[in-house]
Amino acid sequence: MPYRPSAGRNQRLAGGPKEPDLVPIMNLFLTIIPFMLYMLVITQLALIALNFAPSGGGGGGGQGPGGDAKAEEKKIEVYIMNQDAPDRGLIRGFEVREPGMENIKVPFVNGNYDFVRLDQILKDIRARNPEQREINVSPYPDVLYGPLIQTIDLSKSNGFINVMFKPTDVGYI
Amino acid sequence: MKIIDKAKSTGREVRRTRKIAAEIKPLSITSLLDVLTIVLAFMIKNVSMEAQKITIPERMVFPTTMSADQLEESMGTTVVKVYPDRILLGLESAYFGTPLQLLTDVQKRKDLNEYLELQSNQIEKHADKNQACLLVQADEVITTEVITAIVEVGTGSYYKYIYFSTLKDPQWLKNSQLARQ
Repeated sequence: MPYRPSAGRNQRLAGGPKEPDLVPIMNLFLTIIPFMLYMLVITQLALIALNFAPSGGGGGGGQGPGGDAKAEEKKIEVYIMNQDAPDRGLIRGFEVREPGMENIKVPFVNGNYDFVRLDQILKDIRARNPEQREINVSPYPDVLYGPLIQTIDLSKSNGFINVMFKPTDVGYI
Repeated sequence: MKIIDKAKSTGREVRRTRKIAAEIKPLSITSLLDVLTIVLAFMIKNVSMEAQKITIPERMVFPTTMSADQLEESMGTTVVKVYPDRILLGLESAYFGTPLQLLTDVQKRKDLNEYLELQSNQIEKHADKNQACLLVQADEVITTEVITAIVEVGTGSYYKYIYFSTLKDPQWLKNSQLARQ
């Protein structure tokens, strides 16, 4: 004897399509996102470009001044030293040389390089030479990379776009 | 059951009621899923291998700078990571040797020159990024002589551009001023 179809069957069909189960996808997302946030480096990274002292006329990417303007550029040098040797004219600090001006020595303050004083000196040079774009940074071999980069950074932030890297005597064994 | 029995015993008719279940609407998470998908796509883009080139290598302290230069689109980069005790080359961070070896061993400098030359030649053959750029990632306690040696070998290997990775901190000079006082 046949049974009549259950009433529930029709009700199920009339209910419309079932929503997909999104719980596994949500679980996956909630696992991946904290993991990626953990991997994300929050600190802001920067890059500092380097120019080379014996540049001649190459490089520069077309942004530099032309031949005539370059002739007017003064040879301004910032020496970075890391040892006291008064007999050889060395101090722990900076020495800034500008043609026609007296050499300025900036010794360590509280056991660190005096970047504040160097900044003031560079600002003064900028005020005297508003067209100057080039500066030489000459570190001694024992100077640490940190102060070197910060000196290049100070020069660039004072408008000396072409910072030339000109290390003092490097000798290989 | 006790209530029903009690009602039956008194001869009253038992009135049965059916509890109407409250309709619970499912929480719609479609919009949340949309947002999460966008965030996920954005993060996958940022955690790509290309971005790894200019992230901070583990246990390395970069110097801080105020100014920042930009890498040009056409530049193909080769990374050199310089730790106080080792030098790693390329994206795969292949061990090269120690900074001291670089300064004292002529063969090491030749090896580095060979490697960088090979890399710069490969970059120059690339269709889009054909300008060789050397990206130096060094710890702030590395001495300048090591950096100079790398820069010299880099320029000798036809790298036209040399960049240094730093941390951007517009306040570092102010902090230096405070430390001075």
